[in-house]
Amino acid sequence: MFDVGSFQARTCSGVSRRSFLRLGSSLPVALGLGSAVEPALAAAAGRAKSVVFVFLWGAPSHLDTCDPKPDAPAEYRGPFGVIPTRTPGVHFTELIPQVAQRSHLYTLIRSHVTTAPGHPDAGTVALTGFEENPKPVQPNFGSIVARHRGRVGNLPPFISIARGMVMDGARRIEGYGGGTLGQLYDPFLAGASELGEVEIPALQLLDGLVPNRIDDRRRLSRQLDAVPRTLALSGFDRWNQTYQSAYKLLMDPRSRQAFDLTRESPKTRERYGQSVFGQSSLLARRLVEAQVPYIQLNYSRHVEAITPGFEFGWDTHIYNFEFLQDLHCPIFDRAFSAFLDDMHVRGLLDDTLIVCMGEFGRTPKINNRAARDHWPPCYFSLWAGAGIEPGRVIGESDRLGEHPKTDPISPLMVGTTIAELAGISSQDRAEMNVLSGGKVIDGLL
Amino acid sequence: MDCFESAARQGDAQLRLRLTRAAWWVVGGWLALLATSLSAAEPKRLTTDGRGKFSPVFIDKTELIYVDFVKPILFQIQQMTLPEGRVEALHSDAKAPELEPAFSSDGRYCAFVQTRGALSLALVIRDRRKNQDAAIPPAPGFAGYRSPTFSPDGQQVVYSFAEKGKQSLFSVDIKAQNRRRLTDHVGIDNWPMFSPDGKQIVFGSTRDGNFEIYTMDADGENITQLTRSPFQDLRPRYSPDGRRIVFTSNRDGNYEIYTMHADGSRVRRITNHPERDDYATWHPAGDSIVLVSERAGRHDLYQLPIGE
Repeated sequence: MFDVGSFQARTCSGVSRRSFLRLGSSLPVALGLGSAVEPALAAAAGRAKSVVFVFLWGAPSHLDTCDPKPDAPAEYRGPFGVIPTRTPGVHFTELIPQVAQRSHLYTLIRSHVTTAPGHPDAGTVALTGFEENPKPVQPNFGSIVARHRGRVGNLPPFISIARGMVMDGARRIEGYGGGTLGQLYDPFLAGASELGEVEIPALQLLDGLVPNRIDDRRRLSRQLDAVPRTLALSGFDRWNQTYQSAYKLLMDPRSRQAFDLTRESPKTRERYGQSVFGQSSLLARRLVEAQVPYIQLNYSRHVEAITPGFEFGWDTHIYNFEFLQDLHCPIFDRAFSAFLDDMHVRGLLDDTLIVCMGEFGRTPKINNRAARDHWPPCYFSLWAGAGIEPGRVIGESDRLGEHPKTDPISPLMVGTTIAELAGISSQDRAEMNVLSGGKVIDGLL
Repeated sequence: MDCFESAARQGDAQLRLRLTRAAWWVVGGWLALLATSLSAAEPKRLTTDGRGKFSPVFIDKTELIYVDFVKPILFQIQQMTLPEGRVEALHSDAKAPELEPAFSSDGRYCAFVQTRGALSLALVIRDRRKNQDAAIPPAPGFAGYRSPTFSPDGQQVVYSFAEKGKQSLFSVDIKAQNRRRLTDHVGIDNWPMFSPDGKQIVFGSTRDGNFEIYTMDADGENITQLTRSPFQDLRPRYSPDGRRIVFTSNRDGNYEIYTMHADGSRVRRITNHPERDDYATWHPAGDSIVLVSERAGRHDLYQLPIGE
């Protein structure tokens, strides 16, 4: 990494800290070339001017969250009680009471099915609609929207919020980016710390340069000019392209402000919670306000519930019930409910689509380690905004939560529905040669 | 949608029963709150960073140990010296998440859970005087140990471990040898703690369907259920004199701290806040507890005086 600067930010604790933008050593991948995408020819946005795909990477247990089975035998149901949502007859577990109280803002789907059993491959299916093999890998839904919509101002059209490339162990999701559409449509990475310090792996403001001095173009230019020489020595030959994009983003106050969480009131930041996912969710809302067409809001960078050097994810093969009760569900419940409220109150739900889901479910039958393993045949999602009638349930799982009782809903249908709402018609999709064979989710639109 | 609602209606009878029971618990909780709010003292805030915190425990009257979510990738065990509040890492060289520390009564031994690999947790018993470790290495595959605790004589460590579909309590000696099963029941047994006289162990268990609090003899016999709420009763801790137990419960719809007599009688709610209060531990003097409280989305340690 090449430090080229910092600026002072104020955290929600009131302590001045240094926030960093940084030039990444893996620049072409870390920055993504999304920022280099030229403004589109004003392609129609459809009902969703922005899409926020909340990716619960690692896969939360559907039985312990949004699809409880209180009448199932003990070896299935788990220890958690159920609570009513605001939707008559619909119950969640007690772990997500605030999300339950906002069921009038979203529609729940309980009949998802995927085909891949492991995280990286199921991640690719979840984000592209297709298996990673046979190659070539298909584009991320966000890349398709980015291709259709193009860049808004100087902001990239597809931003993935995580503190680095989303991965399982040492392997990234093959469907993370542009796929057949090319690297030009890879996501631009941005992450937030639990204190709301936004980190952009590809950029770093210049040392000692406070935001109100960014307009000192000569100084910025001089310092940025020094970086290509360093990069050239490191063998990076794509600097010029990314340099231009980085420069544009840095020089545009509106673009910079989209990433500056210190502009939010302390009360707003508190509502999202002092957690990486909380502050990342707040960043997602700001990016929606800045009209970024597609935002992939990742719960964590890694899937594993607890592994040295990894962020704590939803993959709870051990201690599922303790991790959900003590860590993941409290964080998710606070942040996602605050996000829904904020989007609703600001009127952003009218033309923003929010989709929240993992890559599969978890075994309804409790495993040998008194926890839950991967379960591709049944899981859930939440859909809000973009004109989708809220407060409904689509699809139903069976008595034990093992399989859908109704027509299964595939990741390809998820992607097709997102595309349709984002204004990408079947003809557009055919011209891009993406989402082939996909159907929209019956009853959702 | 219709199919779902039909299924939901089938479960409504059981749900109504549960909600009715829950309503009575809420009424009881409010009455208890009314009785206690008049004498409630202001808590003292011990930390201000707001990071996630877990499992506080005292070594002695001035040394407080807790787990700190120091980075998005790291749980670190911290040592706070009271009253000045100086904090430093207990194991400054720890690079992987460590959690759930426990100490022998003389402070010589520390047991904790150490992350060794992907979803792979060891139980370490460290002789702090000789700086020597005994450990139960992670079992094959995804596996790990939880919630170690020492017997008052410092010769046994009891912990929780899951195998064959159930999470049970086991004991080992101070060298992490001679494993002995203490419980063997469907469900999850966790958070064991010896009574100060060493005769009893209090623990949490889901054997009746949700987490409740139980006691048993130190050899695992004579299990007695202390709580019967429709919600979760978690993390029981004996008071230093063994007469009371402090625990977490969400019986009022939110996680709060409660105390009860060691026989399960006289349950009292001692915190009341819309955000979460959890992980209570007794100060060795027995006149206060330290807990983790969420306030405005931030998690800090607070010390709360407790009367009789």
